[in-house]
Amino acid sequence: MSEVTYKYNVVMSCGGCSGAVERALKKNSHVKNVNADLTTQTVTVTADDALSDDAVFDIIKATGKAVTKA
Amino acid sequence: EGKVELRIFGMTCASCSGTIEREVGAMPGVIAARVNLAIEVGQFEYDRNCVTVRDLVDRIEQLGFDALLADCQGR
Repeated sequence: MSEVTYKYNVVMSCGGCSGAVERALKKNSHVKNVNADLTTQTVTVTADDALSDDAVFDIIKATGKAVTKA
Repeated sequence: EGKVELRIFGMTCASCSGTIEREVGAMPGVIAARVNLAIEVGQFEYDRNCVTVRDLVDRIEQLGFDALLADCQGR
Protein backbone atom coordinates (compact mmCIF):
# COMPACT_ATOMS: atom_id res chain seq x y z
CA MET A 1 0.00 0.00 0.00
CA SER A 2 1.88 3.04 -1.17
CA GLU A 3 0.84 6.31 0.36
CA VAL A 4 -0.76 9.16 -1.53
CA THR A 5 -1.15 12.77 -0.52
CA TYR A 6 -4.07 14.98 -1.54
CA LYS A 7 -4.50 18.69 -0.92
CA TYR A 8 -7.78 20.64 -0.78
CA ASN A 9 -8.85 24.24 -0.23
CA VAL A 10 -11.42 24.09 2.59
CA VAL A 11 -13.23 27.07 4.08
CA MET A 12 -12.76 26.73 7.86
CA SER A 13 -13.70 29.63 10.06
CA CYS A 14 -12.28 28.43 13.36
CA GLY A 15 -10.25 25.80 15.16
CA GLY A 16 -13.38 23.79 15.77
CA CYS A 17 -14.12 23.55 12.08
CA SER A 18 -10.61 22.35 11.25
CA GLY A 19 -10.91 19.87 14.14
CA ALA A 20 -14.22 18.63 12.75
CA VAL A 21 -12.70 18.06 9.31
CA GLU A 22 -9.74 16.23 10.86
CA ARG A 23 -12.04 14.06 13.00
CA ALA A 24 -14.28 13.24 10.04
CA LEU A 25 -11.27 12.17 7.97
CA LYS A 26 -9.55 10.24 10.74
CA LYS A 27 -12.65 8.07 11.18
CA ASN A 28 -11.66 6.46 7.86
CA SER A 29 -9.17 3.64 8.41
CA HIS A 30 -7.32 4.36 5.14
CA VAL A 31 -6.48 7.89 6.23
CA LYS A 32 -3.01 8.02 7.75
CA ASN A 33 -2.47 11.69 8.47
CA VAL A 34 -4.52 14.89 8.24
CA ASN A 35 -3.19 18.43 8.44
CA ALA A 36 -5.90 21.10 8.48
CA ASP A 37 -4.21 24.49 8.17
CA LEU A 38 -6.43 27.42 9.15
CA THR A 39 -4.02 30.11 7.95
CA THR A 40 -3.86 28.80 4.37
CA GLN A 41 -7.40 27.33 4.53
CA THR A 42 -6.10 24.05 3.15
CA VAL A 43 -6.33 20.43 4.26
CA THR A 44 -3.56 18.01 3.38
CA VAL A 45 -4.46 14.33 3.64
CA THR A 46 -2.05 11.39 3.55
CA ALA A 47 -3.74 8.05 2.99
CA ASP A 48 -2.95 4.67 1.53
CA ASP A 49 -3.83 4.45 -2.13
CA ALA A 50 -7.05 2.53 -1.45
CA LEU A 51 -8.60 5.98 -1.11
CA SER A 52 -9.04 7.97 -4.30
CA ASP A 53 -8.85 11.74 -4.55
CA ASP A 54 -12.63 11.86 -5.06
CA ALA A 55 -13.32 9.60 -2.07
CA VAL A 56 -11.44 11.96 0.25
CA PHE A 57 -13.09 14.93 -1.46
CA ASP A 58 -16.51 13.45 -0.67
CA ILE A 59 -15.62 12.93 3.01
CA ILE A 60 -14.66 16.60 3.34
CA LYS A 61 -17.73 17.72 1.39
CA ALA A 62 -19.91 15.67 3.77
CA THR A 63 -18.71 17.86 6.62
CA GLY A 64 -20.73 20.67 5.06
CA LYS A 65 -17.67 22.85 4.38
CA ALA A 66 -16.97 24.46 1.00
CA VAL A 67 -14.13 22.47 -0.55
CA THR A 68 -12.22 22.57 -3.86
CA LYS A 69 -9.28 20.53 -5.03
CA ALA A 70 -5.99 22.38 -4.55
CA GLU B 1 -43.45 12.30 14.58
CA GLY B 2 -40.34 11.85 16.72
CA LYS B 3 -38.54 14.27 18.98
CA VAL B 4 -35.05 13.57 20.31
CA GLU B 5 -32.30 15.35 22.18
CA LEU B 6 -28.67 14.55 21.35
CA ARG B 7 -25.52 15.61 23.20
CA ILE B 8 -23.12 16.93 20.52
CA PHE B 9 -19.40 17.21 21.25
CA GLY B 10 -16.66 19.01 19.34
CA MET B 11 -18.48 22.23 18.50
CA THR B 12 -16.50 25.34 19.31
CA CYS B 13 -18.07 28.13 17.31
CA ALA B 14 -21.38 29.31 15.95
CA SER B 15 -20.50 28.18 12.46
CA CYS B 16 -20.08 24.61 13.77
CA SER B 17 -23.58 24.53 15.32
CA GLY B 18 -24.93 26.37 12.26
CA THR B 19 -23.46 23.72 9.97
CA ILE B 20 -25.15 20.96 11.97
CA GLU B 21 -28.50 22.77 11.98
CA ARG B 22 -28.25 23.35 8.22
CA GLU B 23 -26.97 19.93 7.20
CA VAL B 24 -29.16 17.81 9.53
CA GLY B 25 -32.12 20.10 8.88
CA ALA B 26 -31.71 19.44 5.16
CA MET B 27 -32.05 15.69 5.63
CA PRO B 28 -35.32 14.27 4.20
CA GLY B 29 -37.76 13.63 7.03
CA VAL B 30 -36.17 16.10 9.44
CA ILE B 31 -38.74 18.71 10.42
CA ALA B 32 -36.69 20.88 12.80
CA ALA B 33 -33.09 21.02 14.00
CA ARG B 34 -32.06 23.34 16.83
CA VAL B 35 -28.52 23.18 18.18
CA ASN B 36 -27.54 24.90 21.44
CA LEU B 37 -23.80 25.53 21.28
CA ALA B 38 -23.50 26.60 24.93
CA ILE B 39 -24.90 23.42 26.48
CA GLU B 40 -23.79 21.22 23.56
CA VAL B 41 -27.25 19.82 22.96
CA GLY B 42 -29.21 19.45 19.70
CA GLN B 43 -32.99 19.08 19.61
CA PHE B 44 -34.39 17.41 16.50
CA GLU B 45 -37.95 16.82 15.30
CA TYR B 46 -38.27 14.21 12.56
CA ASP B 47 -40.71 12.00 10.71
CA ARG B 48 -40.15 8.54 12.29
CA ASN B 49 -41.06 6.51 9.24
CA CYS B 50 -38.47 8.03 6.95
CA VAL B 51 -35.54 8.89 9.22
CA THR B 52 -34.26 7.37 12.46
CA VAL B 53 -32.16 8.67 15.33
CA ARG B 54 -29.37 6.44 13.98
CA ASP B 55 -29.45 8.44 10.71
CA LEU B 56 -29.22 11.70 12.64
CA VAL B 57 -26.24 10.47 14.68
CA ASP B 58 -24.50 9.15 11.55
CA ARG B 59 -24.96 12.47 9.75
CA ILE B 60 -23.59 14.42 12.73
CA GLU B 61 -20.57 12.10 12.87
CA GLN B 62 -20.08 12.59 9.13
CA LEU B 63 -19.89 16.29 9.89
CA GLY B 64 -16.97 15.54 12.18
CA PHE B 65 -18.75 15.83 15.54
CA ASP B 66 -19.72 13.19 18.06
CA ALA B 67 -23.35 12.70 19.06
CA LEU B 68 -24.82 10.73 21.96
CA LEU B 69 -28.42 10.17 22.88
CA ALA B 70 -29.11 12.57 25.74
CA ASP B 71 -32.15 10.73 27.09
CA CYS B 72 -34.79 8.28 25.96
CA GLN B 73 -37.29 9.47 23.36
CA GLY B 74 -40.85 10.62 23.95
CA ARG B 75 -39.90 12.97 26.74
